[in-house]
Formats: sequence, structure tokens, C-alpha cells
Amino acid sequence: MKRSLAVIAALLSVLALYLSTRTQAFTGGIVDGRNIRMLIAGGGDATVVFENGAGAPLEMWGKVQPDVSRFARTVSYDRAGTGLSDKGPLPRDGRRIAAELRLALLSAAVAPPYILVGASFGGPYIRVFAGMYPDDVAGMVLVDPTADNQRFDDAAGVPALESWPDTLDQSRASRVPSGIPVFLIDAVSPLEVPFATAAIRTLRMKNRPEIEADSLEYQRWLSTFSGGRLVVTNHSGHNVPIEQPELVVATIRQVVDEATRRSHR
Amino acid sequence: MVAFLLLVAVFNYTESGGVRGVGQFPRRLFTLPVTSLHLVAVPMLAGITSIELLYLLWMEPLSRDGSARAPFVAILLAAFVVFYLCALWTLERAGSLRLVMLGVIAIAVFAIGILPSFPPNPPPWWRLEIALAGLVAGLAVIAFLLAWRHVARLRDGGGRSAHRAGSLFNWIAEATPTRRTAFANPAAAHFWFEWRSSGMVLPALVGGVLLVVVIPMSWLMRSNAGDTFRLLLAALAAPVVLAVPVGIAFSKPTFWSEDLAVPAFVAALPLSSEDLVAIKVRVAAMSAVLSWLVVLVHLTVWLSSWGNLDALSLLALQLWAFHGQSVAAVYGIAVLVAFAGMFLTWRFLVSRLWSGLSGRRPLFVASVVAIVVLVIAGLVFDADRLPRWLLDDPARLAPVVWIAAIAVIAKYWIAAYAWRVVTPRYLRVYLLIWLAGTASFLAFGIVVWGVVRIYLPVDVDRLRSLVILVALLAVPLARVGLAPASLTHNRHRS
Repeated sequence: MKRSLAVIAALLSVLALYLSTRTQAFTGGIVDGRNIRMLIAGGGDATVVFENGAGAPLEMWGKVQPDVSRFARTVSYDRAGTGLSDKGPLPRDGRRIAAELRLALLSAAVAPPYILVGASFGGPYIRVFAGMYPDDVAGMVLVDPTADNQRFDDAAGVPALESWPDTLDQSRASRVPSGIPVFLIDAVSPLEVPFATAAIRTLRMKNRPEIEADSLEYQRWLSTFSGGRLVVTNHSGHNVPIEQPELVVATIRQVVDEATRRSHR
Repeated sequence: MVAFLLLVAVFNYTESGGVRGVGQFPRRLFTLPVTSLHLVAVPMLAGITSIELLYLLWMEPLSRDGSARAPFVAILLAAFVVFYLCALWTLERAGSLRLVMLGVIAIAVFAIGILPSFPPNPPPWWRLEIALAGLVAGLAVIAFLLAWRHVARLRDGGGRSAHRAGSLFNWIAEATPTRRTAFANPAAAHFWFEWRSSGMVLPALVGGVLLVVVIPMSWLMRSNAGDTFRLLLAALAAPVVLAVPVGIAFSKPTFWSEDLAVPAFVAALPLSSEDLVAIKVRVAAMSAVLSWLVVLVHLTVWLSSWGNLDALSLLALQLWAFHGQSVAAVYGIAVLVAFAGMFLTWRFLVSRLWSGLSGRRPLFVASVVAIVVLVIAGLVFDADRLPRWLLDDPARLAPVVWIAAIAVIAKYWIAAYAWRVVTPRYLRVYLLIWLAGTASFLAFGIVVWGVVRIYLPVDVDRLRSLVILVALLAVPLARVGLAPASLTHNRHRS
């Protein structure tokens, strides 16, 4: 036996055994007998609940949730029919999704109040949740949310998109609970990017008016209640939790601090 | 696919002619009271009939997604049988190299088969099925005539053409600049010999595939960003994929021979078995590096002149955004891909040395069959579905991680045993190679894991464990440690 290699073999054997025992602990939330996959981490007075973008699994918060878990209890989850959660009943509109989220949280013994963080599609969903359960919500962070004027032409076969007009109506009709801190991160994308070919640059310029229209829509919505603040970043595209996770973490931290101060008053 | 491969294997219509490769035209048939035309035409017609019958059986499922019409496919298959037998019979002096040539012929016929589907639609006249079918049929007739002439000449006891070909070959050999300076030592001389006889094969093959397949297709598809991206992936995969069959031949004592015994002039060299294995490992490294240089030069020329970069630009943009808007990170990933690719290519060249150099045919055949079975199983069971099946349920990853962990433990303890008889100098050098290779695989794995963990619903802890364990398994250590002992056994057997 070669001694030097035997030492390496021993060390790597320990590492291999350790790695084979590593596993992530998911919590199974139960909604009407259906399994909802949840990842609950961290601890603290505040509870931060993440609402995913369209079709995305809870892993989309992989760069955000570990950092937020250092100062708050965090819950990310797969909406019914996405990721590894069971499918849910139709229609998949905002009210259904908000009701299912609340049931899942309660079944996993995660008590309110919640600070809701919604990215993209998750933005309108958390607005509906806040409208339905105002006493359960202590703050909101909307991360480049889908704007109220967004339409989808090719929605056939995708339940969440088929119900999107209803979700938008419900979102518009939802009132923000009074006095809670609400932050909206508006990602306007950098104007100049490296590696872009002429075709890609043209495409980006073509999308510019849509980004500007969304920004106006965000400002209009934030002006309809007090406590709303706009955070504009041009260091990120639409996938802010992936492209600029530190901004999302910092914004959540601010909301958590404000919500905590508010609850102590 | 398996049915077609089996049929082609059945109709190879050769018999062993000694140590040279995969056989030759059966000489004993020359005594039959039939003409040479019959000797050539009957096996070809039998092969064509069989492959057409097989195609008839599979026509419905094969045509479901394809755009090629049945008569066109039938002509291509018939022509392939003619090319196949013609290459086997007329190029018997090339030995095992014919397998590589047959691979190139198969790829070329396949490429012709998909030519009509390339944009623009409708294609120009020369890419119409009827024009291509005529071209292929004409080439098949020429191949048939060549095979007939060759067999007739063999039957007459050879001829001047073989002599002329030999003279031409000798003339080229004489005209090629040769080394004039003396070698510094026997190891340098043997390195030169190994490089000339086996090291250059992979770079030449990679260059050939790029020249014959990728470059023409890249020109035809230059307007489509998605196709350009797919061809880019194919070009990057070429050295790794080709290293698998080349590695099988490379692992033998003599690349071009089926004989597993160490040639007398190698056995008698004043070099230890460790030296000989080390030379093989170095030749493999140089072969892998040169193959990748060929690919990188090709990519530089192609992408900077007629490549459609839109899809590549989108990918680079995503990576740039994902890695904190760092341009250096994107270039770093590109360099990492090249390094990991080089190490992967090299590992396929050296991973079978322990069985190939042993001289034990059952052991060598078993190690080759394992790879063939894996490839066929991958084709039959559609290997693409495996990762999706694994990711559908996080619990399914658990046994895979355990198997990988057990493999890691077994590998490193066997390595500790295998290297006990190898001198420390070689161990130190090889450990550095192992470290560099494992580090590059690990770094590549971490980059890939960092991206997929955000998009895939999976147990990320288990996925990370799997990535680390696979990186620890990727660079051969135990098998390379066993190679000198295998070679010593082969070298000194009676």
C-alpha cells in the first residue's frame, strides 16, 4: 500500500461518506390533501415568505434565501403545479393561489404575520394575498413584478396564464394593508451590455419602451397608498434574485427592520 | 439503430487475414467456379436487399419525424452498403484504420441525407433529393466497379496497381521531411515513435470531422443562430466523443494491430514499464491538447467570419448577468470549458491502458464491451431521459450519490494499492496531473451546479455532493497505477 495515497484515500473516503449523507430538508405543506413543497430555513421574529415567478421552482431564491435566513425565518415554496408540488384545481387565479399559500403556511405551522416577497408573476399574487388577508401581512417586497397592463397572447394550455386576466383584476382590486412598508424593485436593465451582437442590441432597444411603461405603471400604483417606495436598479434585468441578489436581500432587510419597529410601537 | 448496426456487422463479408485489422476479402472464394463479378455482386446485393427489408420494417417509425422521402433514404442505405463493402475490401492494407474511414463514410452519407432539409426552403437544385440521390447512386456504381476490379486483380495474384500504390506511398514517405538530429535518450525516441504511430490520429480525426462535416454545415446553416449554436456544441464535443474509440486502439501496445502482445522491439527497449506507460500518458496529453487547439482555431476562424453569434451572445449575456456582470467570469468559464474538455479527452485516451497493455484479450475485450454496452444502452433507453427521471423526484438522487460515494472510496483505495510498486517520481508527477484534472472538473462542476441549482427543482445539497463525487471519479488514478504492472506482465510473458 502506498502510504501517501492511503492518506489521500482515507481523507476522500471520509469526504465521500459525509457528502452521501448531506440532504436538504424540505417541508411538505398539505393543501386539501395535496402536497406542497416548502423550504423553511432560518429563525427570527419576522417571517419572510417568497412567491416565485411564472413556472419557477423555489430554487429561484437560492441566492437570496440563505442570506435572508440569517436575520429572519424564511419560507419558499412551489405553487401547486410547479416545481415538485402536486397539481392544484382550476382555475389558477390569484385568489386561489393566495388561499392555497395561506393553508400551506398554516399546515406547516408558520404563523402570521408575514413579509411577502414576490418576483415577476409573484408580485400580483402577493398583492392579492395582502388584499385577502390584510391582518396577516407585515410588509411586502415586489421584485420587478409583472405590471398591471401585461397581457399574454399565447396562454392556451398554461393554467396560470389562462387565469392571468382574472388575477390582474383581483390584483388591481386588492387594497394594500394600511401603514405596512412596501418596496418595489424596478429592474430597468443596463443600457450597454458586453457580448451583444447587433441583432441582440436591436432587440434590447425594442424592449425599452415596454420597460419604461412598466416603470410608469409601478409609480402610478405606489402613489395610490402611503408607505410605498420605489428602488430602481440598472444593474439587473428581470431576474433580479439571480442577477442582483444582494439588492433583494438588502431591501428585504429594510422591510423586516421597518416591520419590526412598527410591531414594537 | 441497434438493428442497423447489427446488420452492417453481419454483412461485413470479410475473413481474418492475420494481424491486420478487421479482415479482408475471403481468398478461399477465389477457387469457386464463378466470375469475379459474381463474387463481388452477390454479397453486395444480399447486403442491399437485407438493409432495404430492414428499412421497410422500420420505415413507419423512422419516417414519422423526418422530412426525407422513403426512396431517397432507401438509395442512401443501398449506397452505404456498397461504400462499406468497397472500403472493407479495397482498403485492406489500411487495417483497423478502415473502421475510422467507415465512420467518416457513415457520417458523410448521413450528412447528405439531411442536406435537403437545410434552409432555404425549397433548397437549390443541387440539394434536391433527386439530385443528391443521383450523385450518391453514381458514386455507388463507381465504388462497385472499383471493388470488382480490385477483387479481380487479387484473384489474378495482385497487379501493378498495388505495386504503384506502394511506390507512391514510398515516394511520399521519402519526400516528407524526416528527423535528422539524434534523440537525447531512448525515452525521447520512443515518445517520437508513439506520437507518429498513434498520437496524431485523434487531432487528424478531429480536423477531418470539422473539415468534412462541421465546416460545410456551418456554411449552409450560417443564417440560423440556433443551428450555429448546436454546431458549436458538436465541434466542442468532437474531440471527447472521438477519444472514446481512439482510446480503445490507443490503449493497446500497437495502435494499428489487433495483436495485444508487446512488439519485440518495444519489449527490448532500455526503458522500464513505468517509462513506457508515462510516454503513452504524455502522448495522450499532447494528442488531447492538439485536438483542442484544432477545435479552438476552427471556432476562432468560423465564429469571427461567417458564424451567427446571436445565440452565443445570449448565452454569454446570461452568464455575465448571472456572475455579477463580470466579463472576466465569462471568459473564465470559456477557458474552463476548454481545460475540462482537454482533460476529458485525455482521460478517455488513457483510462483503458491497464487492460490494453496487459496482453490479456478477455480483460481488454471486457473493458471495451463495457463501453459498447453503455453506448448501445444509452441509444436504446434514450439516455437523455435519465437526468429528467432523476430530477423528477429528489429521493431518486440518493442511491446515485451513494453509488458514486462507494465508487470514490473503491477507486482511491485501489489506487493506493496499485501505485505501491511504482517509483515515487512517477507518482509525484502523476498526482500533479490528477490534481490539475480534478480541480478543473471540480471548478467546471461548481460553475454548472451554480447555474442549474437556481433553475431545477432538486435537492441542491445532494446535487452538489454528486457534482463533487463525479469530479473525484473523472480523472483515472487507480487504472493508470495498474498499467505498468500490466505492461510488465505482457512484456515478459513467454
